[in-house]
Amino acid sequence: MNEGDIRFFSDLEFPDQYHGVLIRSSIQRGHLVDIKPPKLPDGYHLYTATDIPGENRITAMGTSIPIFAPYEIQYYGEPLGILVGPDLDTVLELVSEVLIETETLEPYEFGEIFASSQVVGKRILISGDPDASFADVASVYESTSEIGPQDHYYAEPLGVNVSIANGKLEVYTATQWPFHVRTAVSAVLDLDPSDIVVFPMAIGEAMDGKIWFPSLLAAQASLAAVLCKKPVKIAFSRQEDFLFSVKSAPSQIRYRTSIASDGSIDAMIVRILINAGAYCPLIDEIVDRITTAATGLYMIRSYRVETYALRTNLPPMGALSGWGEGHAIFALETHIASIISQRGLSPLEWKLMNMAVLGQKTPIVTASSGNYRYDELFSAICTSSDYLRKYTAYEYLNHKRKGYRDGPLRGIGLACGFQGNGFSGKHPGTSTYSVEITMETGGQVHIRCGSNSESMRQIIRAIAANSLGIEESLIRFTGTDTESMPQSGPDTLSSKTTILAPLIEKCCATIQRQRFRDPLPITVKKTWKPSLKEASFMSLTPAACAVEIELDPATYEACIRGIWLSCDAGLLYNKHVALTAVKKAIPVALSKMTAEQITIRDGKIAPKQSVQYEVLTPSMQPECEVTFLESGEQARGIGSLAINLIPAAYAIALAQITGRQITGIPVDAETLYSFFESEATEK
Amino acid sequence: MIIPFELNGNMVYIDSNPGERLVHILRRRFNLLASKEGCLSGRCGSCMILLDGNPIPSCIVPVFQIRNASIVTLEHFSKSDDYGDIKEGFENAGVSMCGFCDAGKILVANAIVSSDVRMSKEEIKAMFSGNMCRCTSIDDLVAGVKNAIAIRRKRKNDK
Repeated sequence: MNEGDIRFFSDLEFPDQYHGVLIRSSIQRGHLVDIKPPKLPDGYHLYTATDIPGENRITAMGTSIPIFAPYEIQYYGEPLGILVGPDLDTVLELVSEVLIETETLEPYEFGEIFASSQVVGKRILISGDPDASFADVASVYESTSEIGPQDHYYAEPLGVNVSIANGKLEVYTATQWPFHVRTAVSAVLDLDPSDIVVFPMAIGEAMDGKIWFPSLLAAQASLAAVLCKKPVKIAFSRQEDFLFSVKSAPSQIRYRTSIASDGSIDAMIVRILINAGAYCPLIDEIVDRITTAATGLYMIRSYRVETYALRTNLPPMGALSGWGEGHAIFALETHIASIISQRGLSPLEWKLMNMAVLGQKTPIVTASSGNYRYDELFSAICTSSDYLRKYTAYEYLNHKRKGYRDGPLRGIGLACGFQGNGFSGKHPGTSTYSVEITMETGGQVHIRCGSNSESMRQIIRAIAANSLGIEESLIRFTGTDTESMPQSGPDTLSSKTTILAPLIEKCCATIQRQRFRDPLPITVKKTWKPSLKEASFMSLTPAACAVEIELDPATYEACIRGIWLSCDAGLLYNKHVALTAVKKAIPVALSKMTAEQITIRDGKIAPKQSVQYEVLTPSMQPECEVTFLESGEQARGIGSLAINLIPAAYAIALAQITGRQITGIPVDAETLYSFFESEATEK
Repeated sequence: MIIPFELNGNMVYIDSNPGERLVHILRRRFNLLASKEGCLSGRCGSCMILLDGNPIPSCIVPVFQIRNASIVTLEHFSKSDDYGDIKEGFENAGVSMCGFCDAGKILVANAIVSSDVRMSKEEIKAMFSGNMCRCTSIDDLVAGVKNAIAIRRKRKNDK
């Protein structure tokens, strides 16, 4: 925590630096006819698609996105060009004077009815004959959940700083995927990758909003820097970032479930629609994850899950932490809770009866990996939260209640779910990960691992110090750019915990074996490559969560009385870091569930009511208790557990109070008011 | 418009548009980069400075308001013994920050530690309501502040 140790791209200024501002489309869909700039003073330049020497696109995971729209415009705010010059205020003034001539076309809409040309991703999972089951069984339940787009809301707005030094193009940006930045710039400028050096800058909490978008900005700024032969900086303001950066892809999930007489799930039909926006490079992985997550950890006799990702004329969509898993878990758990409530069953007993166990196979649980200690997970939650007593008491009170002003409005929700770790392994673009460790003659250890996350470095330091039997102070991290760091894929989906940590252990074990028979220094390198396996992910972190809520009958504000979360995270290298990783995601999950809302009008993103995007601050984190099951199994990711599970448990608690299934995120006081008003009207 | 003020212990004079944001003055004219440009609406706390001893987001301070005032940025504050208390308290509590929000969290923590009021956990949490950064658990921050209070008290008593 020494000031000056951490560098952000926004702190970098180069001598004689130019500032770049993007020229954007003012229509949602159509054709670009002409761009007419005002008379540009000396030193000011406008570059468009025609100036690109290489490919006018970046490609990520099989999806291409134009650097500048050449002709077809796909969304409001799409970059059409970049205007650069030495004075930012002058550049902004010139940008406002650029005339853009366009032809407007009717935009693609998102809904139940769509054209086949809109489908950019599709998965269908079928087991058994679910349609036949529906014909036989009388107990059929249906519900539809809708989750809107939300902002990733990271601390530092997006940006990039590019300079040319020593004959190489140097790119400074906060990115979760430095090697993708290099590949993208190389393709756009038709340069050899060895002529480009990417310096990943401090990133803070990226919330998965800086996976591929920095590559697009880097390509745009690099083009301008090469053409005008000056360092170029693009720095989004918070407003520009909010309006034009990627958002989490909205979804609509419909469940139809038949329940057998013994209470088990006989059949389930799930239809998922994802709004992929104009471009969504991560869509294949999102579709995979949301499809496999749709049946959760439950055993279902027959099912069909259909997922369609639809292209629309909204800004590019991305993946919030969890990559769609949270959407599926929210929709499934609230649907299941509604069934349990209608049938008058005990949520805990029902869940324990229907969890998939070792030997059973579901989309998410493979035959070999189903032993997930559900009893212990639920037991930890029930003990710490007093769930059973509270649930029974609140059921009684809420049924006995004469009106919403009668008595305390309390509820407790129980949800179970998981976090999938690492990519599904089906997308070659996700790349390899390597670690290189050198033990020097003086005993110092240098680690090159491509991670610039401080919490990950704490874990790595602890592993290396423990494995090699040395002081942590002897460990140094080296490799701060793409020339000196080993090749690595994106830093997301807990891939660093699930991939790098075991690689570090292997490297250290090899050094330990060699150090007493070979002279120092010793260097060991280990690499992980993605492989197509039976499992949906590299590993899965099962978890359970309870949320207790009291609703204020005057303001309809929900006050959280407690949050309890238990998980089987495997081996914990540093319990404090693990606890912090879970806890800091709790306010984020609550913010997504209760506050963050974006309205889209005519393809333009807008906050709900004002220019401010409403976000809960970490200080509003309620009391929470996290239990890690003791385990010696390989470390698993935990960073998305709160985001995946808490919204579901929160909605179930609200449902116990209101008697209605919560089917949307976010849920605010206005929604709850409408529930109670209709309850009053019905009575 | 010429505006005189004390910056990190030195008297300075700037010729500026009176409505210009203080954070821009600090970053662009004085290269004091510990105050970050986050939201520019006073909500995120990344641009925090001490204005006459009080933590204030510098993005919502127009420079005409700082005439003859004392401004202390994190760069200067981090050379003080008071900073040492906060740093040690945070380290003992395992507080790990992303760097972007350091100014906000450290200067607010110092305000709490320096306060004569004995605050409850909830009150300490509320003091951080102007820090939007999602990099740290608030429980760690509260523990760090409590540590820092004890360290400060011990340091003052030792004197």
